[in-house]
Amino acid sequence: MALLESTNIPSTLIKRGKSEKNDAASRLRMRESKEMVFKGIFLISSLLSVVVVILISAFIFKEGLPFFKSVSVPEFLFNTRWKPSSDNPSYGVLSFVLASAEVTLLSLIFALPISLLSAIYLSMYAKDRSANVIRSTVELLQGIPSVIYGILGIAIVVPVVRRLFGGNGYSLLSASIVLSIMIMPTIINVSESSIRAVGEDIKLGSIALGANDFQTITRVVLPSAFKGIMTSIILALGRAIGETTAVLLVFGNAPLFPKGLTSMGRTLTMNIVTDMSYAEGVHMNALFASSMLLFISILILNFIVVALTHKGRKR
Amino acid sequence: MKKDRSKLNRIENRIFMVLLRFSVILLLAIVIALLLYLVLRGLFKGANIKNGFNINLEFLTTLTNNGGKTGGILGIIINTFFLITLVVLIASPIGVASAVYLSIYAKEGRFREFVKSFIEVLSGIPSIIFGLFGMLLFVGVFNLGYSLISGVLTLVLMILPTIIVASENAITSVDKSLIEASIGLGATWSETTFKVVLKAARSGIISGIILALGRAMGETAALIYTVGSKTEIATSLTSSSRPLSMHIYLGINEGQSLDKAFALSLVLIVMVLIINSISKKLLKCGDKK
Amino acid sequence: MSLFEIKNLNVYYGAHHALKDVNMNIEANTITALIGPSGCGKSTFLRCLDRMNDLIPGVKVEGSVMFEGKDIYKDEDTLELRHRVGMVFQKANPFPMSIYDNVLYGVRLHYKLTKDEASRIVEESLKKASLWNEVKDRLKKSALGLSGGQQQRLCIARTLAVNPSVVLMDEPTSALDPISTRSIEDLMRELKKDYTIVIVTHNMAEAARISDRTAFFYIDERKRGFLVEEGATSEVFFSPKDKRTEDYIQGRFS
Repeated sequence: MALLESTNIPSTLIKRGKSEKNDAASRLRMRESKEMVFKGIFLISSLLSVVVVILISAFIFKEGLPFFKSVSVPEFLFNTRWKPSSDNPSYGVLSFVLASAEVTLLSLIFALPISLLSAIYLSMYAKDRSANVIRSTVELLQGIPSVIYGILGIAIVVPVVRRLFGGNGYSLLSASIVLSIMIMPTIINVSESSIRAVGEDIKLGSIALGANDFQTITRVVLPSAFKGIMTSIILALGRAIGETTAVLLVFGNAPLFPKGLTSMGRTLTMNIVTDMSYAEGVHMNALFASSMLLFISILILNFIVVALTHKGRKR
Repeated sequence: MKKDRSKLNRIENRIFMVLLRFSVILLLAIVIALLLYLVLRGLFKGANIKNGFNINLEFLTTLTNNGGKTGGILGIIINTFFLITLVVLIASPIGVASAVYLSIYAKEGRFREFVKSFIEVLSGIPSIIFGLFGMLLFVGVFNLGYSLISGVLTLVLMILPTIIVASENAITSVDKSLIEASIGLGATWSETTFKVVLKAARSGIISGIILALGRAMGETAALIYTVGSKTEIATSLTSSSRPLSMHIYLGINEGQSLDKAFALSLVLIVMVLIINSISKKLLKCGDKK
Repeated sequence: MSLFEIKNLNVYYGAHHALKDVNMNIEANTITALIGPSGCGKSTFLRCLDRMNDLIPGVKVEGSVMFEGKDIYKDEDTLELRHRVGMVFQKANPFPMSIYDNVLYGVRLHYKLTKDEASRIVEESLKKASLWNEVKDRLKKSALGLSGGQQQRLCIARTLAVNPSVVLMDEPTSALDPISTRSIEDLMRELKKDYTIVIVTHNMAEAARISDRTAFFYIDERKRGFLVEEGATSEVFFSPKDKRTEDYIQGRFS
């Protein structure tokens, strides 16, 4: 970044003589060094994010990798027996992985229709005032902390599930319902922008051929917005997989293989949070190995999002 | 053979339109139901007016006793305030500085894309992993113990991406001609940043910081293994102390009544909503300029 | 009975009176050119014929537009109308799908087709649009890979595939190079045999070359568009009834 060299002294100051020229030069040098210092500070700040990600990976892997000295990867991933405190300890996380997968997928199934349809309504039909109301509502949903979602789940969702489906209410179904509400804002926001971005000209082309709204939307608009909608789904998946507190409060936290909608279960995140308070040694390493698994899954999802969004730009 | 679909088309379209409206109504209904219940049960025990108040002035203004089982929550609120203030003070300069580098100094190219992709990864990392990292680094390596400062530092890392992205947006929206004028007069880039850009982007940046604050206030997973759990007011950076969000979570674990949890949640959500609306208003103010 | 009989047509965009008191007939199997300066309502008029104006918020249409003896504004159903009256836009707007799917889009809205029927329709439509030879080996490739002129012909093929009676064209060649323009003009002359064409154009030479009838629109002091005169192209161009027409055609106005 070249600085403008202001070695020209304003005429009113020339009278001050030679000393003024020296002062001006030294002032300039000071400003230049200040510039270098600040540039350095800004640069280091931006690099901090990079450093943090690397550190997080390093620390998690450092605590998690040693685990695989005692337990093999398949034993870890494909075993449903999690009994770290027994005489013959076993560290199989399959039940948790499956529970996480089930609750995530189920919440997506619940959330997707409402979110997508609302996004379509928002971007194509809502008038200004109703659009604002809907958007504010979505923002509100987004701002509710997970612990409060958990509390509301306990008070509203769990009793209803208990009454309608039996069991004690703390279940896969309850967790999925709560989680689905939590991920709706993500899907709605990103999908809405993608649908908005679809060109007006092809919408007109479809209407001019006699298509009704349903046909135009399903055959032209949604396919065009597909990448964006997929991105929103993957972002929502990431959010759901990483959620801890809300599911902790409504899933029942039983380390069982989740058999049905009303069974209790424990996700990978719940397991980490629950056991960490008293784990030590191999047990603790196992929990960090679980964190590694979580971390890697998130990285993969991130990768997919990048691939999706960059492919579009190449055109 | 060809078959005319016009009747089918008409029915399809009708059903679709109904579904669209129904979805939006359902969405609004869910939100209203949740908030309404939250307010009702927060205010009245068992969400029933007849049962008397759940929250009262005394609750909000007296200190906690007895490990939080009795007494008011003033201490908790003060702890929350400490937490938030420290998080802002530490995270904002770093976040804004990063945004400055990325939008003013860095040229379009590999370095910029490289750093931005890391920021994106950072923003996707689940809070529990931040919590574990904080536990290992701050509580462990730096030996700060389960304390206010460990929690603060963990939260700082967590909300950094939010601040960076919001600041970047605000900075790139600044009218380029202002920047050109400053450089044209011989100012350095850092001088231009401080005297022109940050002033112009001020509302967007502050709005982003406040939004990030709102997120930090509701956080639990990142704090469980970092911030400690004492209910007294924190006396120093290294004291163990719990903010409101943790008080709710730990309360459930400690066997507190659900009514109490709702009272606490109501206070929390009101705080979060106030913060979010301040953030929105600031953003609007900035746009109008 | 004329194919289109337009009586006392007035169009308002909110408070703005865009088109005033248009009375005109359009006969079947003719090419009618709509000419006039910018903002005089030619496109507005065109869009009334297939009710695409309905999509503009705040639009009000008064008067009657009779198509095949029925007032199209009295009938709620616009889908059938747009099936019979197709439109080609100024900027080609192929869907982000294969050429094959683009052509069949409109047809599939209304009919279930067998594979044979589908291929036949695709071939016929592309041939009518003079595009078949250029794309017959890459029907399944994306339409977005075609050149501008090819895309526009694809849009024409897509419109023809539903077998409309009328094809409306809103400055179809203004975004194209001279060679593509000529090929589309040749196309229009061919199409006249089976279809009725109404085309908005800024290109006077084009209007003179291809149309049977010409309608000249102009704008009044209150910025309202109106029909000055309409007649056989040779008359409008060489012995116009109205001085304004004469001036415009002589090139005194833009």
